[in-house]
Amino acid sequence: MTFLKKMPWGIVAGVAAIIVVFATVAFIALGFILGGVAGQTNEVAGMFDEWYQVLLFVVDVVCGVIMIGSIVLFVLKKLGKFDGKKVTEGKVDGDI
Amino acid sequence: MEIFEKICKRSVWVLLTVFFTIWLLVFVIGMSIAMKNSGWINSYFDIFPWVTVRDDNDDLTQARYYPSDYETMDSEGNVTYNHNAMRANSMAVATEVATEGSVLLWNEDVDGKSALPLSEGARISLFGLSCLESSYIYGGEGSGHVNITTMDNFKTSCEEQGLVVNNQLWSAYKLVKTLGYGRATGSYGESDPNYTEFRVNEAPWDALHETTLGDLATSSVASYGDAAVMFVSRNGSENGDTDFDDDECLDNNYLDLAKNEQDIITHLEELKTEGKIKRIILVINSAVPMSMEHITEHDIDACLWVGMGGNASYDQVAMLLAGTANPYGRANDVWAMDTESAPAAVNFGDFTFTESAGVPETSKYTHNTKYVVYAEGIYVGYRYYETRYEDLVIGGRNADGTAGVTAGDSASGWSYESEVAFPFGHGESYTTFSYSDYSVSADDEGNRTVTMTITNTGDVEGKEVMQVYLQKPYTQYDKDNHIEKAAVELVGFAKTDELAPGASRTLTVTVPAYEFKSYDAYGEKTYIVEEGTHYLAVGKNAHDALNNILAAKGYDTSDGMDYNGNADLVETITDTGIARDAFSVSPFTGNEITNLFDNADVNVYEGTEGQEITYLSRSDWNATYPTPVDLTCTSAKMVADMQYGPAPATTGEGDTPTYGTVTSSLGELTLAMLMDLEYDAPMWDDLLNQLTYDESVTLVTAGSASLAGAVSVAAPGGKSQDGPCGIRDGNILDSWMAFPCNGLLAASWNEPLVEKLGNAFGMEILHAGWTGIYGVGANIHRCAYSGRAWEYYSEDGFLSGKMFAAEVRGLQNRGVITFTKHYALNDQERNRYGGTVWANEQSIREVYLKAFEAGVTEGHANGLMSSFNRIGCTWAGSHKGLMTGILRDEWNFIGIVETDAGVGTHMLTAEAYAAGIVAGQDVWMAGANVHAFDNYKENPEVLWAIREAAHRNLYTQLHSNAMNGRTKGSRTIYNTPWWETAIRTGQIVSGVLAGVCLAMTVTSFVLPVVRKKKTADKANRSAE
Repeated sequence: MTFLKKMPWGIVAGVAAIIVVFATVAFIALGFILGGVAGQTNEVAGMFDEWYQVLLFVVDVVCGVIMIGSIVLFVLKKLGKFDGKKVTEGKVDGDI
Repeated sequence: MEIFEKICKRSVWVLLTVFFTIWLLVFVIGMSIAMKNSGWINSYFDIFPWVTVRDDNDDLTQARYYPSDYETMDSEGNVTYNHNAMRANSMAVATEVATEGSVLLWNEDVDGKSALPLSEGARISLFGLSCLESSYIYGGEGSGHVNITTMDNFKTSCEEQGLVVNNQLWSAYKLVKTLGYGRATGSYGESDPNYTEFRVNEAPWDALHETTLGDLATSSVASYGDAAVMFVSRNGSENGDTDFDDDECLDNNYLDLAKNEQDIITHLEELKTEGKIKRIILVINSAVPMSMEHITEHDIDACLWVGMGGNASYDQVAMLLAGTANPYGRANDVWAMDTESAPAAVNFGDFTFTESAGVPETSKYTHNTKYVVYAEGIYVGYRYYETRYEDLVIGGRNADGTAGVTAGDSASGWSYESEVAFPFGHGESYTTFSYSDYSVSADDEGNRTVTMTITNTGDVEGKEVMQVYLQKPYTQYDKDNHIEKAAVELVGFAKTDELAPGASRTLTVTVPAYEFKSYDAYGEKTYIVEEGTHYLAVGKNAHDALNNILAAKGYDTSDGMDYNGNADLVETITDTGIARDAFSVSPFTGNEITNLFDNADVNVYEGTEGQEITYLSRSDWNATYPTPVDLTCTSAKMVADMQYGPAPATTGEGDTPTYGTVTSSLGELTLAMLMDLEYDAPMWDDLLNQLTYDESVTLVTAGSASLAGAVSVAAPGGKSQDGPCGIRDGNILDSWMAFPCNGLLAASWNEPLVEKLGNAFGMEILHAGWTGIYGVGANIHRCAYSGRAWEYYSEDGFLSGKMFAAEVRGLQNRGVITFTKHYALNDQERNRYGGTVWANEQSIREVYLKAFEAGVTEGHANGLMSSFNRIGCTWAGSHKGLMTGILRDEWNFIGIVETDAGVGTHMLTAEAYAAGIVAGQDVWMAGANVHAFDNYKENPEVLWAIREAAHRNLYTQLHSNAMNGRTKGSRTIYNTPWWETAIRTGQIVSGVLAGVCLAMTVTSFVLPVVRKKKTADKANRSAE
């Protein structure tokens, strides 16, 4: 719980979001470029033909998950869901 | 609000700064990459940035250098095209070529009358899914494929020709198609290891009953039984050779009958036996010959080869069936019983060096570890079958051995009848012809004039081809020096016009002395004309001519000939009157001719020492018949030569070209001012001096679907499109025009007609606004499995060359730049990207370069496209022997050579660019990389080569339709493409936002400190 509370989830989400944006742009751009190159010779190029396309996609998905998770955790943190003392106090208050 | 305030703190500004800074980097780096590939991007978005600005004082009516026959011009020089009339002309010419090129393979008698043509009003049934427009193949696949959107179908075409088509069967086939039968569409070739897109997937006979029509589909045939017309289609494609195992076809051979096709034909034979149908007609819709062993086993009354007819396909077949057009074609390739019987088939396909350490890695577009060896030497197509046949008749040389036997009884050895179904040049007719008054005369230089009278002895009008073949002596010198001589070689032909029954026509064919030469690669290393008896013969086909020669030699059927020849149609030449060394110098340039391809011959090249191979030789057919060749790439020499480049040495010595300087006494020149000047006129130097370095390099490197313009000399540039049998894109009239495949052109044996087609094609290009066409195609049908054979003319270099020359004459008459594919030795698709091709110099020159030679020297082709493959270890585009030695020094080529699509690493490294430009490569089909030669800016050899390439480029542009509407006062401006503006805008916006965010970040760090300091100061003051 301390870890969840101490982690700067907003920054993590922001960094992940940046990676997602650029990985997505790069993934689409690569597909476009490789498809265009292949089209010159009537070859066919898929979105996952090259190892770096697969890597980009994996990075994109992983960072996307991290981004969403971080946003959720960030909101929960801001809502004080990880604040153990406050919860305990609440229970005490409730008992009273 | 509290959360919002917490969000908007320094971490947010840091992240935003990072975000926009990365965007800025993306736009900056992206711009650099984009500018290096601007040609690609422009072609993708169909942007042509070089725009003409006209001088109002110039008379545009005088600036129409390459007009269309279907345009009008007003008094101010504005041109209006009549697209409809132009297209009607294209269709008429295409139909004429398609019908004239169709070959009637056989035509048996039915009820005392030839099976074809059908009578007017004949009731016919169409069989095979290819009778539907969705399965019929009007053109092959790949970059040359033209999407046709406005075609009719066989049924309507047949009905227009007066035939009555079985509508129930026609409907049944449409229903069968919905059951999952029929040719697949979609991706093809190497991308699909199962070649599913090539699958015939013919519906079996029983499938017709599975439709809602049930038995009606086949029972209706009896009412439409004048003829059962069976359609068989075979495809071919860029990246898609057809030598794959296909278990749906007999012998696993895609070019053999499919089992379901055989099933249908067998049922048709039963119906014929029952008297329900009178004749069976087979229509072969394929660019290449099929294996005929199984087809000829069936009781088929007539067989038509119709190639791929493009837009004219349906009318073509319907007219031929109805007899409103006659098949005047003669086979452009030999038709073997089994396509595997060609010796080239042994070494066709996928071969990998067994060892290749140190060779650059093979990748998608660079097949560095692959090879193909032309071990069959000159014995391609009919040259093999006819030569072995002659040796079989004469006896000896192990012609009757078992090597190479694929059909018939292998134990009894090789025989012509078992291996060949129809010889090269074969073609039946609806009428018959006789030959008479054959005579040959010679001039002082050894040129021969062959004259013969052809008479139509049949009942209907028709055309006949006079085919002239030469046999050169096979001497002891040849055996000692590994020179091979084919028993017959086509050296001339002419075609009559349409002869009425009983009419005669005397034709004359000139056989130049040049055709008597042979290349002596291992002895004198140049062309020689040998002493000994030569035979100049005519015949109805190559085999007939050979039989005539054998008759002149005194042989007959008792010696094993299949029929007796006619010695009267042979001129025996004991003294050619041509000096042995007459062609050791080029007749086009006067330069000495010597070996240029030693580095492509495994037996000569230093890097393959110890890996000797055996070329097929008529000295011993059995012992030299090819076997699959294993090669390694391990020697230091070979591994070094396989590296990219090699780049020319940077000497740093010598003058460098002048750039960006006006040096003419006339002041600033424009390209149009040089319109009437020769290529080597001094004024060109002044014009080239005006070019900037960047413009020169752009002219060389920006060839993707265009030729670059140049502002400093008012060069227009021009747009290019894929061919060669129509414009791939370029939609006018909301439709596209696919011309017949090149094999049909060749099979017409009619040069004037092919030139007429070139003219029509040229007007299509002109109307569509294009200047360059990536066509025609002049590679050789080395093997029937070549996926792009539909783009090439023939297995014979002479016939191919004549057609190439004729077609480009027509195209260039409309100002088209013809980038003829693929110079050279790109005769298979597999491993074409940088794969090594090995062949001896005699076969390279006599078989594979012969067509290109005629295109350049007779057709004056203004462009060529270099091939992806390597010649030996050297990429074709940087093979100096090929690009300069042969092309310029021997053939006097004044034009430009553009690469094939710039995708292979072996073509695009800095070293490859430098090696290519020095070798004579002029334009890269790539994206305008002005930094391509940055490593060689101090190398005079490279810089002068760039300038010479720019010279050729501009000269070619000057004599193209790109100059239409341009005068001496016209200027060229460069319109910045929208994407370039967009990227620059992105740079500015992201830069500004990054700056703002950075400022806010700094502020977010500084402000708290200031506030804290102020607070502390305030507290201190309060304390005081």
